[in-house]
Amino acid sequence: MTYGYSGKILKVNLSTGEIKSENLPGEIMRKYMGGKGLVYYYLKDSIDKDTDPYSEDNPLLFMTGVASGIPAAGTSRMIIGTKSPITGGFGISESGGFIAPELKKAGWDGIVVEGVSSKPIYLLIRDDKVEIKDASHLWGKGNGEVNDIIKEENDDKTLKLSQIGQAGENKVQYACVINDLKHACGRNGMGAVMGSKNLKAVAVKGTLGINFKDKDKITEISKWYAKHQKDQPLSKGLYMYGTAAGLLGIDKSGILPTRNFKQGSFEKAEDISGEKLAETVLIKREGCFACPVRCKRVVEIDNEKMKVDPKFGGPEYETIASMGSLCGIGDLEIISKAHEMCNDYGLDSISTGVSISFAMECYEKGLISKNDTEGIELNFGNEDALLDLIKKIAYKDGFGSILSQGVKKASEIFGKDSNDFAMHVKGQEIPMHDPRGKIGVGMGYSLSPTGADHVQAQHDTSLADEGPILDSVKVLGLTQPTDPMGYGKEKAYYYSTMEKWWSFLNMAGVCDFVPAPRGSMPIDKFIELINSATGWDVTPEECMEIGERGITAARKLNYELGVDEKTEELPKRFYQPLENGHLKGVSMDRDKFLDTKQEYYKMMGWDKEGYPTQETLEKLAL
Amino acid sequence: MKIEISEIFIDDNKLKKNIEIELKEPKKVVDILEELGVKNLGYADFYLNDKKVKKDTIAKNDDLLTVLPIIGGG
Repeated sequence: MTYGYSGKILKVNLSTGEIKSENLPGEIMRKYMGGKGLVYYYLKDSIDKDTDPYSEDNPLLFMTGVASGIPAAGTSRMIIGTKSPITGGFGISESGGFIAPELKKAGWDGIVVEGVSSKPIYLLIRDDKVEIKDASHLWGKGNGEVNDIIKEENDDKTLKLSQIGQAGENKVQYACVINDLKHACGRNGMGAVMGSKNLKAVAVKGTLGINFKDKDKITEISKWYAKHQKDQPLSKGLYMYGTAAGLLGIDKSGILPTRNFKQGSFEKAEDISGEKLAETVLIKREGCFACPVRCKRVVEIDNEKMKVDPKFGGPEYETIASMGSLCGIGDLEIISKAHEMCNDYGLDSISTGVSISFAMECYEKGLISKNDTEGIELNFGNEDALLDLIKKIAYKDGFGSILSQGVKKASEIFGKDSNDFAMHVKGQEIPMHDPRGKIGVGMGYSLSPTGADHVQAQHDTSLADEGPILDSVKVLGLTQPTDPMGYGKEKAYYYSTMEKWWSFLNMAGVCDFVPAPRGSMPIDKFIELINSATGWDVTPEECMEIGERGITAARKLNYELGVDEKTEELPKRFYQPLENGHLKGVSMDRDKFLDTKQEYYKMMGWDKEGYPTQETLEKLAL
Repeated sequence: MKIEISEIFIDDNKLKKNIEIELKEPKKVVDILEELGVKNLGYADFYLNDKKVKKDTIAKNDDLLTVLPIIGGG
């Protein structure tokens, strides 16, 4: 008997209609833990440099982790993987919610979707009963409506759903997969690949449950944490104000992305803060599976000007900043509407906001005109333009068709010097954190295998001083504070240490907001939770090695796919000074940054070109 | 001096979100807040007159001190 996982992977071939169960050996689970580790395991032999991401040769993987579904905080993560249409390389995107625990309760550790269906379909998984159902009547409809129809026609309101909206159907490059209308696997174009397979949704109901080795211990830890986290500032902040709890501090620190990263402070920051959201449009706080932190927002607006349906949840920090300050918009009702539209159409709100913001700057600089935008006056702060363009992007309508390809390709079309402020790495748009005030985040943007990504490592701003947060990670080997604006060996060490830990969390299927350092559960207690579920004897050292394996495996696969260190360049804008705020005049130092990356390569056992050495690959059994 | 404290750091110790105190002599930010009974300062960032400062920065009576949650990311 296995504990904490079933050892079964569901394989569905949409070209042939074949459905089968495949064993997942225990040694593979211990080696990779799940998440991006299993994405690598199932992707590595399926794709090569020439594989078209939208072809039947590119599998789409829905993976849980060994911790997913443990009845305790932070165990909700679903990790979707594929060859990304954005980067052409190793692609993953993760979200919380309920579908990963549901899939495990149905007896599956993951799903491998192969081939392409000849017509729109959805997958209906009820434990070991798996059906491919016709979705012709659902094609062209938004996520909200489809969610209702699938539940109704299967007479089960408790089904959990991963879905694509019109954006995925239309293969908008940054279309996402939305889980239960509120939780987005937003990045890397997962929705576009799902759309290319004519797969409209995956609906899951699990009744089998999950075997755990020591249920009493799990209950004990879970109860302890529920009580402990209540008044702990890291958890309390997330509960009270969601991920936007930090927005005011980010603004005062001069690193709130504003007007396409030209500025680091927004004059209407207070109007879009987590505090303001709680005072105005918030109607409820929600959590993911078994999680007492409850960082999710639910907003509702119902007035003459605007209606926003609470079934889509509410905007998190990334959406608030990308639709707000980045576009010069300081109205939470507009931002909430933009959030609803993105979740209904199935668009990544980060890439959508960055693409629109980029177009706004191009318009203000005169690189494009009303002739290009079909009459839209695309200045920063134009709220109507924001909402119009979201719809046009989802449907690839007119000017929206250009922006649907992301800023890298849009800058090639707009020309002139627009590439200097096309904010992306590897074609993936930059999230809402300015690395000019936290160099470690710049490391993540540059080094992430999936293109610009803000959840590669705990941000260095929280580890700048001695204190409880630094104390919480000493068990992982990080014992000295890191200057957020520093470079060199010290920065490389901080980054590689925190990256390995967050890599492990992804692989195990765990939310960054629960275990330390971002969350308030001590690391040893969290590891005890995994061991209680599995019966294993995992140590912090093993966790770090597993995390390192995940990073190195993705790196290896990317180089085989042609995505090498030449794709790691940050946008020129980050080497130019910020125009306002606390860090006015501050820019990144490119030479020092590149030297820091070389230090990091050395620490990771990679060569000067960033490829893992033979010794490293052998050490990690890759 | 005026002090703004995020509600995240206010529990049942009768502190208010916006307070004003008379500072007789310049003092370290951390000392001012500890004397007021603000807890969990290891999870806070400090701003004097809207500029980020370290906890041992000296504040004066005409300063505005703001206490916000530390920026963790994610």
